[in-house]
Amino acid sequence: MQAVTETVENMAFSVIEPLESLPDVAGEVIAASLTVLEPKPAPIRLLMPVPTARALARSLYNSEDPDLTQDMLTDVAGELLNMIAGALMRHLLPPDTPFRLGLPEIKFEPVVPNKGQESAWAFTADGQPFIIMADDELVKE
Amino acid sequence: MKKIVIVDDSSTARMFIRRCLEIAGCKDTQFLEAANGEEALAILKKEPVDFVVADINMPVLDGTGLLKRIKSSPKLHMLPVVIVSSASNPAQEQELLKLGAHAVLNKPVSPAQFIAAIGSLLAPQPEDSLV
Repeated sequence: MQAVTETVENMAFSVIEPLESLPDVAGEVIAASLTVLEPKPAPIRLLMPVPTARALARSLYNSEDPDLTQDMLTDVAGELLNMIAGALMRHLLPPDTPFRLGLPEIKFEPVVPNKGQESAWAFTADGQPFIIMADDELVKE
Repeated sequence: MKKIVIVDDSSTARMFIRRCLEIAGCKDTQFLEAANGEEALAILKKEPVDFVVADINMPVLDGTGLLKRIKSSPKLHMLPVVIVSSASNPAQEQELLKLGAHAVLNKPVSPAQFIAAIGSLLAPQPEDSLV
């Protein structure tokens, strides 16, 4: 998942490593989702513990300020998913194929991949885990 | 000192674009931020800037609307506008260029993309080098 790795590394100026299996994500989490509207309606989702979002936000804002607000963390998760989805679609679709993305929606509750319908990939950002899930219909393209 | 307006409804995206521009060479630069096209126009009415980087999807007034307003303004029509989009649509990109966009970039943008697309806008102004 080079597209994901490059996107997060470039955006948050963090070191991204793929994980071989999905980690248990416990505690406070941020779940972001958006729908690919064209060429085929399908969801792409991001699940990250709040400490991961906090670490990415600190790195992006180049700040050690621990006082990151929930709005900032929500915005980081939404924009990160937006950029990952764009990179993923550019990677999956033939060159110059038009595509359109919906707006990210944020929830603060855990989600799990829909077995048989979604592919999932896990990574760490500076040692903190996060998971990307994409509808199999998109991945098959 | 350069002045650049970054327009995006996401504060994260604004910060990311700012850091990309800084890495691309905009060191001695004042970055002004707006969350939508109307806020950007309010800034442009108050002070001259060197160029605008605007997301295409925003509430209130989107990137296309902002581009049209700038290009139809006698005072602002020469102002370079760079449009950034997370979607991909070659036909729409051509339309934006016809409307007068200086460049259309796809998210996730990178410093290298900015240098390749708008390198001439990033170069220091002659008076910057006199200091």
